[in-house]
Amino acid sequence: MKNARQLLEDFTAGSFRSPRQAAAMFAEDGVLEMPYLESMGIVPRHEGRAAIESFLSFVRDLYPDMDFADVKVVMETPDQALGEYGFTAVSSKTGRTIHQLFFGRLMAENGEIKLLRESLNLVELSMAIYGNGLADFKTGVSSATNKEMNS
Amino acid sequence: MNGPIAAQLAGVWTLVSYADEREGLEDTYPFGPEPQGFLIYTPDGFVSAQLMKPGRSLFQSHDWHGGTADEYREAGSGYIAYCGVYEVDERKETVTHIPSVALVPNLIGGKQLRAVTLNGDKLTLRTAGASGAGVVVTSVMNWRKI
Repeated sequence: MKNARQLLEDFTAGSFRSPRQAAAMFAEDGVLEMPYLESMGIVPRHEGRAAIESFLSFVRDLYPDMDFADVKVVMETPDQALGEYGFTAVSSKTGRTIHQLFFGRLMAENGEIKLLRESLNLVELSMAIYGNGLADFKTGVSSATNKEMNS
Repeated sequence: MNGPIAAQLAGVWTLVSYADEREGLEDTYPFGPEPQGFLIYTPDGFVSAQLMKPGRSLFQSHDWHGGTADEYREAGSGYIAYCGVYEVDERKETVTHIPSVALVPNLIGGKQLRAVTLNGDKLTLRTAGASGAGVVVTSVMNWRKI
């Protein structure tokens, strides 16, 4: 049974080339969360393998040549690991080269990922998804507002 | 170019569909429900992409250089055109188009990087981004080899 460190290393090694395979590492009710995405109005929490696969497919489409690098597990217990990792990749949307750095906390349960909570650089993200970077971001719109828009 | 992806890409592809998939919202079709286009990869590394929205208005003057501002706007906003070179990364399963000439000058010399999904005579190329309000948008182009 894999511990938290092994799961974090395996998750980052795949680089989402197969979103389905990466999502299968999560528990059935596992969660992938990037809380700071809320600040940009992007849905920050994805629960269950189907939702996680869908989000990872988006990441794969955004950064087709992404490979995680410099993966360092800085703290760990058998069921939790805290890691730092990053990538340099070209955005399919803007053509810009993006340098992203993550801090990820992984909680393991029965050899699967119960929770992976990541923080990331939102300025770099905005350079990847918006033609004019943060200038294109409309302030005051939260994912809660998006949910209302979508309903 | 060598490798299985490059070998499959080489040839002429016709556009089957072009949709913007928006998280939690209805898909939209930037070039209408029946867009038309060709994507041509030569074995020696050149690419040409021409896509259009059918049904754009004719120029009243019938003069290539004599359209009105509105006519040029409609013609240009319903058309994607560029030619240049391409590179394939077999391990990462990606293709990068690098336009040398383009309708929109911003594209010239830039990199159009796409994940490649091949299935027989079908090719799917996607780009991902977001609206200013944070709605995740994936643009999906489906092609068929002819």
